[in-house]
Parts: sequence; structure tokens; C-alpha cells
Amino acid sequence: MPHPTSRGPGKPGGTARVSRKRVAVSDSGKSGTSTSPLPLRPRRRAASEPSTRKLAQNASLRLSEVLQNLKKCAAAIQSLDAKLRQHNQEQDRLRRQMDYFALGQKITRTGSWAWNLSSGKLFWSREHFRIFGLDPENNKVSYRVFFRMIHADERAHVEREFQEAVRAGRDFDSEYRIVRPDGQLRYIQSHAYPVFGESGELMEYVGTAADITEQRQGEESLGSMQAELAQASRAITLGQLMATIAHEVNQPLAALVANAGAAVRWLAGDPPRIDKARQALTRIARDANRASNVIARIRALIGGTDVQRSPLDLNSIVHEVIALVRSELRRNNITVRAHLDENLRQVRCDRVQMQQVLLNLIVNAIEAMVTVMTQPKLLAIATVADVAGVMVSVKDSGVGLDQLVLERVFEPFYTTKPRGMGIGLAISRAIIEAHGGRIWAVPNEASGTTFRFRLPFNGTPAE
Amino acid sequence: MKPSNAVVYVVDDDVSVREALASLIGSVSLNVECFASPQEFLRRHSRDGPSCLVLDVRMPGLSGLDLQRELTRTAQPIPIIFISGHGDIPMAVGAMKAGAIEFLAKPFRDEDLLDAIRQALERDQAARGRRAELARIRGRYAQLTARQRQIAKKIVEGRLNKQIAAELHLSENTIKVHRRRIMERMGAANVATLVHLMEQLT
Ligand SMILES: Nc1ncnc2c1ncn2[C@@H]1O[C@H](COP(=O)(O)OP(=O)(O)OP(=O)(O)O)[C@@H](O)[C@H]1O
Ligand SMILES: [Mg+2]
Repeated sequence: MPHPTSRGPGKPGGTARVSRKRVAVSDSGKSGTSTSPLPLRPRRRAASEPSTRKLAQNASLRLSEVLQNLKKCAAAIQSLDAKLRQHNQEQDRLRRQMDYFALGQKITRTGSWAWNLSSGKLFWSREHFRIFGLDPENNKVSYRVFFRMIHADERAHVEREFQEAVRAGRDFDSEYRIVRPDGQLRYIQSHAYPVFGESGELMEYVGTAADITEQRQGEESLGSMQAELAQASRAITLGQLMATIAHEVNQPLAALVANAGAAVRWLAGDPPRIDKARQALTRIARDANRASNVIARIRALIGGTDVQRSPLDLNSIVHEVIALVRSELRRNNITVRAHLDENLRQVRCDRVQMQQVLLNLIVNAIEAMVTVMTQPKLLAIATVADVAGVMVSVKDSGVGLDQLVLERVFEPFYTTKPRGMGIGLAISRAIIEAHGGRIWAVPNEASGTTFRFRLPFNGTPAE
Repeated sequence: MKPSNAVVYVVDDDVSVREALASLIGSVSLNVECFASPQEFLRRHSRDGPSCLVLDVRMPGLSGLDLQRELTRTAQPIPIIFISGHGDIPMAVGAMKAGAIEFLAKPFRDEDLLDAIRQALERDQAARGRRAELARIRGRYAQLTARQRQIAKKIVEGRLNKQIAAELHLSENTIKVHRRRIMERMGAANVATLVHLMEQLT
């Protein structure tokens, strides 16, 4: 599929994929008419062929830009790396904790008790007293005393269960918390069973009470550690993504260095080959653009420091982005329709990131419709709100998506375009998920594809 | 050393890299041919003069390492310089063990690549010389009759004409005639040279 923007071989230097650059749009959002919609692509005319010096200047300018971006990117990767290491440590800690666990389980702290139904007397073992924080010499226990020690939240429930068991003469298993006289909270696990007399009458209940506080608290922190672990594994995939990205950046950089070496040698030749040197310099500018584009987009993905979330009206963001791509749409004979829900509540999100997502989806839609000749090219953008959040859809009448690749399109570096990088949707997904939302694609009934994303009103807060 | 018929083959799926390397290698007056995939290289390349291969490691389909494996099985192995977008050390070690000249991580210095190319071409030139020499000796040996080969073997073993004649039930004169023929056809001035030539055949 040919790329709609000017990236043909005949247009040296015009290969900047600026339509994807992060673009700052004024907050009024309605100023799109005064400025040129796509101001980011410097288009060079073949008529006034640039001088070698100009090209060299341009190349070195781009190069320093790339290097600067690289530095920033390296910093981002470094901080990511630090995070990763931290997560690995957590993982170690978790593993150790689990070992302790197994050990702890061997040491059972269990007291025993017996309760006589006819006398109403309650007997506790010494260990039982100890667990409940009472002195066996100086304390008398009773049914009342016992139930009063159970945490108020659970007291009524446990008592009811116990009485039901007694009525039915059943075993009784329960877990509850007690508040000891010293104020300590303890988790107790209790098993009890009925003892019947000769004639089958229920005589007493005997049972155990095990202090499982450490176990429970361990599990609680286990739960939160597992959550961290899940995050760590996400970070690992991010790390893998980084490796792929490094590849993606090293590729143009390798070309860049080789071109620079070639240019120097062509110029040093006898006679100097100005034509060859110029070609090499032109390629340098192109490759520098490519590298800096990867980096800029990755930086958008990582989020970095400049992510700012505030309650925003998605409709106005849709308007802003449409204004940005208007000339692109016109050039490709695409009709755009916006069906925007007027009662949209604001959603907390990062404006630039949302623009990025919409831009990615719309550019993809345009690219999908470039080759379509047989039917009207229609781009429909809609917003709808429900109680929980906002849904935005971008619908095209383009070449469509095979059912088999519906999920794959969100994978980093999956692309079917000769000049595609395959990160538009990967980045979009990362952004939407970071906002607690979801993004997916559905094939249209007639033709083309609809990409949808949902943002919840109570998304995850930015870190 | 820059043989005018030397060719550097570049296999990389990235068009930017191909164009850049073509220009760089061309700028030092070397012939260069680019291929977008290992498959294309296997299909299209012809190896007449000394050559070497600048090979990307990671490509869709056949990888650079696959191609290396493929090429080592052929009769005319080609020196390979790997270029990789990943600093993958185990992979680099594997490639070097399998006989690669160099493993350069992208982005690499242009001099490093050109040095490696020079070294690779020299190595290929030498290997080619050896192969050509061997082919020449084989060709000469092929001209000997079965009897002459039998006799040549015994000469190399250090037998005298008389001994050979007795062992083969031939006259000493016949052996002398054969011996002269053998030395002629093998292009050997003396027994020492013949021994040297025959050694290379085994
Ligand atoms: N609206 C669409 N219609 C049909 N196919 C699509 C559409 N959007 C995406 N795709 C498919 O998904 C692939 C991945 O899209 P994605 O935006 O991630 O990368 P890309 O557009 O190829 O490259 P870039 O990094 O420049 O965005 C595309 O190459 C294309 O095959
Ligand atoms: Mg895209």
C-alpha cells in the first residue's frame, strides 16, 4: 500500500513522517483555521535544487537533533531499566517470603477449647489463653467473654453460624479476627466438632483455635506483591520493546554513519564526486529524520515527564485533530463526518497523548483508503458517553482488516506498509491502557474497519 | 589490495542501510551488489572474482545466520561480515565460531566496516588462489593413467625404479618411461616437488 504522504524516492528530504509528530495544539482548539493544518512537513521543491552546503547543514542540524533526542531516550530507557531492576528485586523478595511461609506453616500455634452445653462452662488450653492475650491464672473465660473478643465486624456472623451448627449438631469451621485486650488484632482459624452422649444427646463441643495472623498478613502482602510482579512482567515486555526499538533506531543510525563516511570519501576523490556526495548527504537528512521520528514517537510511548492529565472534552480534541488532517483528507478526496455526543462528560486524560491516538487512528484510516477507488471514501468519527466512560470510534471505508490480524495490528512493529513502522497502534494501545481504557478493532459490515477506544471516567491516575 | 574484479555483496532488508553501504563501499572503488533478502542473494549472486558478504543478522524469513549455515555447506565458502542491530553476544560468538570475519553492531564506524571488507577480500583471494592451485594439480593428476598413478604413489613412498619394477612385474625400463611421463604431466621437476604436489591431493 503506497503511503499517502510524500515519501517517494523522487522526493529527497521530504521523507519526514511529520504527520505523526506530537503536535501541540492551542487549548482553544478552534484556531485550526488560521494555521496550516500540517505545518510539520517541510516540503522541498525539486525546482530549486538545494546546494551541497545546504544539504550538509541540514544534515548536521538533523543529526544534532537526533543526538539530543537519543540522549533523552537513553535517559528514559535508563529509568525504565532501574524500574526493571527494582521489580526483579521484588521478585526475589517474594520468592524468599514464600520459603519462610512454608517454614512458618510447620510451626502451628494452636490452642484447644471445650464448651459444655448443659453447664455452659468453657474450657481453654494455656495456648488458647496465650493466643487470646489473656493470663490463664487471672482470667475467667465464658461464652460471652469469648464472643466479645471477636472483631465487631464479624461477631454477629460468627455467633449465628456457631449457633446454627450447635442446633444441627454439625461440625463448625470458622475464621475470624479477635481484638486482644492489648489491642492487637489476631486472625484465628477454628475447627470444632460436637461430642454426643450415650443416648445420642449433644453434650459438648471441643475445638481448636489456631493463630494464623502471620499467614494472613503474609498473604495480604503477597497479594500486593503479585500485583507488582504482574507489573514487572509488563515492564519486561517493555524492555523487550526497547530492544526492538534500539534496533529500529540503530538501523537509520548505521545508514547515517555509512553515508557520512561515503560523502567524505566521494569528496576526497580525484576528481571529487560532488553528485555522489550530495546523494549521500540527502540520505543522511532522510535517515536522521527517520531516527528522530522513531525516538520522538517512543518518547510519546514512554510518556516521560510531560504527561499531564486533566479533565478534558474529547469532542474538542476530535475537532483539533480533524483540523490537523483536513488538508490531507482533502488531498485524498475523503469525506469526514463527526457524530459527536453533545452530552459528553469530561474525561481525565493527557491532551497530547489523546491527539496522538486519534492522529494514529485517522492516519491509518486515510492510508487504508488511499487505494480505494471504487466507492466513496468516508471517514466517520464518533463519540458516545455512557455512565462509566466515553467511547470514541474512527470508522473508514478502506481496504479493511482480515479477522486473523485484528489482534496483531496492535503488536509493536506489525506493519503491512512498505514504509510503515508498525508502532502507531502499539503506542495508541499503550496510551489508552495507561488511562485505564481499552482499544480494539472491528471489521465493518460493508467495507473498511472501525477502531474504537473507551476511556473510563475513573481511569488510573498518572504516576 | 583491490582486485578490480572483487565484489562486495550486501544483504540487508533495510533499504536505507543498503543504499548507504552501497555508496560507502563504492566510494573506495569496490564493486558492490545489494540484496534485500538471503533468498534473493542465493538466487541471484554469481561468484567469479574474489568476494565477501556483508550480512545483516536479523531479517524476516531466512536470518543471516541461516544463510551462513547454508553457505558453509557449499564448495566455495564466502567470507562473511555480520552487521547487527542488536548487541547480541551469544549470537555474535556463534557467528564468529562458524567462521565469520567480523561481527559489527549497528551503528558501526565506516572504517571498521571497510577494514573488515579488505580483510575478507584478502582472505577470499588467498582461498581462491589455494583452490585454483588445487584444481590445477587435480587436473594434472587426472591425466595420469591408472598404472601411472600406481607408480607415482610408489615413487612418493620412496621406492627405487628397480623395486617398483619387481613389485609390479614390469621391466625397469618401462618404469623409467612411466616415471618421465609422470614428472612431465604433473609438472614436477624433481621427486621432492612431486611429493609436495601429491600431498595436497590427499
Ligand atoms: N484502518 C485500517 N484499515 C486497515 N488496516 C489497518 C488500519 N489500521 C491499521 N491497519 C493495519 O495495521 C497495521 C499496523 O498499524 P500501525 O498504525 O500500528 O502501523 P503502520 O501504520 O503500519 O505504521 P506506523 O508506525 O507508521 O503507524 C498496518 O500496517 C495495517 O496493516
Ligand atoms: Mg499507522
